[in-house]
Amino acid sequence: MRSRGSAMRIDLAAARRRPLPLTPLIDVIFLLLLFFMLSSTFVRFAEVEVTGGAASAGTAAEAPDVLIRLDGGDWQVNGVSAGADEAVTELKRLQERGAARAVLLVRGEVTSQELVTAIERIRGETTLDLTVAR
Amino acid sequence: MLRLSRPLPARRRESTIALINVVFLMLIFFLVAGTLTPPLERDVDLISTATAEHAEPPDALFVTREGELRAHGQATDAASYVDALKAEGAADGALEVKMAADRELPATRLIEIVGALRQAGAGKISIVTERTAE
Repeated sequence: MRSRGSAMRIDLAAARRRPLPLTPLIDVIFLLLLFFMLSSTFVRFAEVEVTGGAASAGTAAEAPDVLIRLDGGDWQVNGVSAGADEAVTELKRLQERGAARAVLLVRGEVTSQELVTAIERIRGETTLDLTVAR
Repeated sequence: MLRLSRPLPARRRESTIALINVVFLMLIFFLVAGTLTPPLERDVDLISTATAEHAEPPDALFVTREGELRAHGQATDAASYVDALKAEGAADGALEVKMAADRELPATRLIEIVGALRQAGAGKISIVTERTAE
């Protein structure tokens, strides 16, 4: 320590740093956490395109090569009843023979889930140009 | 002889650093693993698919089990929904409509709605589904 009267002044030692207050930090982080927990989802989405519908008059001009009817779990391909697997093999066979356009008709109590499953299946396993109608 | 337990040593303060660490980790987890979604209709049970192509979380036209149309939490109909879409985005090319239908919705009703949307001027219509892990 210097005596008072000395000519040279020495700055006081800087006050000891107080620890950073953590409470506001935690508040903010908690808020962010809550926001992201509530507004994010872990569901993975996909989409299936639907062509056709009641008002697709443009496609009606060209006759389809294959007519698929969906009625409950039953499929009918060009009038022949079959289970889903046989129907898909039949569709593949028809496609090899040169069929290009297919119409999927829905009857009765078919749910959207069954319809979309069917569309997905047909699109996945064949390259038919698929239209949906009622 | 009565024995008194020794007075407990003064409790040390819980360290907040550990707490912040954990909360930070959770925050980062939700940031990275979750995707932010526009609010989804709560009583619509999405159709599940396995192989359809991946899509963004939808800002979609929801269709409930009874066939009621809803957008942004309010009941609507096909024509006004398409009009609203046209108004909000300057439609360059075909207008794309995303529908999120309940899986129990009768397929005939679904096709009816697709038809109505087409008539109202929608170009590409796709159905939003949730991907299930294979």
